[in-house]
Amino acid sequence: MSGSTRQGALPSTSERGTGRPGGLPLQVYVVFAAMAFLVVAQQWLVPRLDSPALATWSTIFVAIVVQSIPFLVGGVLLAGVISILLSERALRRLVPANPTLGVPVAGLAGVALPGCECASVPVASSLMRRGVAPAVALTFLLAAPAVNPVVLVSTAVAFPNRPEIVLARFLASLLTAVAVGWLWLRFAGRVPILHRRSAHDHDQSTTQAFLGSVRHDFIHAAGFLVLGAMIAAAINTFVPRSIIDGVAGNVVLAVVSMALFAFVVALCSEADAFVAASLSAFSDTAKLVFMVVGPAMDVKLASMESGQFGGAFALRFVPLVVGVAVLSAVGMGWWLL
Amino acid sequence: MVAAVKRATQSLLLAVTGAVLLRMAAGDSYLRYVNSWMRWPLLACGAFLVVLALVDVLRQQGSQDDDHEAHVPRAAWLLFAPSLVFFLVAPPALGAHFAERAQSAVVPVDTTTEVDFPPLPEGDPVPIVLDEVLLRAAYDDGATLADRPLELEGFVSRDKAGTWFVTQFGMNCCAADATVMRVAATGVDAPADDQWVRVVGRHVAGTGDGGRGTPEVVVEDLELIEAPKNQYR
Repeated sequence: MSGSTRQGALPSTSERGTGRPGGLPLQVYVVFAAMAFLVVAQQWLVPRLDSPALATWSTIFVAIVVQSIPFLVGGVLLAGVISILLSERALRRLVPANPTLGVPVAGLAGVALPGCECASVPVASSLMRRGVAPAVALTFLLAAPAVNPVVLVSTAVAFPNRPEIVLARFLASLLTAVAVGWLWLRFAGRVPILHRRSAHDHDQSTTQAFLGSVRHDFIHAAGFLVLGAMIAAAINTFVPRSIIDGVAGNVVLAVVSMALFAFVVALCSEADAFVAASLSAFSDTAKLVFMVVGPAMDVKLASMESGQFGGAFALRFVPLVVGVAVLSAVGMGWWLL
Repeated sequence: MVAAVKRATQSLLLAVTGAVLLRMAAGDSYLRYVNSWMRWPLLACGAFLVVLALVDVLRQQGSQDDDHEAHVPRAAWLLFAPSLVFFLVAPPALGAHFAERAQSAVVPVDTTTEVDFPPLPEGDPVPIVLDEVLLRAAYDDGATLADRPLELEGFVSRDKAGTWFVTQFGMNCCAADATVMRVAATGVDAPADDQWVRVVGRHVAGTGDGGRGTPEVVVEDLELIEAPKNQYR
């Protein structure tokens, strides 16, 4: 990344050299020419790119991006509503002033946002921008993709006649979100979180401010989403399943590898229950670990969060979440399954 | 060093991404990646991104001042990647290459309760989907399949040992979570990988029982067909 630490400051004014007054910058023409060239060269290129492994990778890559973008757009729209349209007073009434109390409230509020995890990163960021305590916003970020009704119903469908798995998933995910929130409140208050904010134009109408915020948040998050999708598709395509299946027999290895697997394949939280159910070699607890870690943290989310909140934040937050999620899933599995 | 993404280039990014989503959802190509119900969300989303880009271009045109060039991370360049991959590689629906490595679909075998399948419908042969073959084969040595010519459709894939399968992927959310359903075919030579086929065959009793292993059919008739619009189940 660019490595800058004060992105929250004013938007940079240093890099606009090539723009001619009133016209488009040179960059646009260059990009446009490059795309035109590639489209023309397509006839020649396509047969050369014809390898089964590349085709599989690109199918999975495009699939993850195409599946996620509508959810990301939904998320940035909601984030825009929170940052521009929701009044300070209304927000105050919704979120308790005391962060210790706010954390569990945010966890339960996650039930109300039936979306994928990509939606919740911009939403959490806009909550922080509006002055909600970071720990509270982070709890919401972790809870929303994991405990909403759509995810719970799909888990129930994937594990027919096993209500205890649905319950264990709900409790373990909620516990993870609340525990991370409280830990963050207690120990990590001093880790700086970048608040990347949209440029605040002074005399804009509300509509323009709203569209500006949506546009900014989308472009901001989408690049990292694409990066995560590339990695996840590569894992899906190039790592043999036999390696993953080979560790299923060992209790500890199974849990560790399920957590790792959930992190790298970066499935949408509404689908991961079906994949977990198909990993028949693994114990129920290991499957639970897969379903609790996945929505809370994966390569795509880690990439988006480091873009949104900064690398220093991600370096602490990502391992913390994975650790807490594994412990809470194993604990819940031992108790309920 | 990668150049910062100019504001006008950002608009181009949005417009291209939106146009690609519209292009996918307007035809059938989105079915290669996601479920059919995603069509309307994709159309809405594509249109929204294009409008977002247009609004910005129109608004910027009047003003000379570029000071509000929002600073975005250079990772934003990557947003061109899916569009380029879509146009250059034109990724097909998942096929034989992934069938060997994908998770097998779960056959929900519940040994505690007695399951009574209704007999197969009338017909000679009986058209039947692969998931139903897997399910019926898992119980009672496949008693409800016995002595009936089954008509299956799927594409050709094979394992390392050279056995070939009539194959189809099941998909829940997108192609990343695809699980594979397949039935081993014996009695005729395999067509080329990824070729869609319609076979008529009889189930070999006991294969695929209890959801372990793959059911096997002895092929009596084989026909090469066009791939369906939606290749997933």
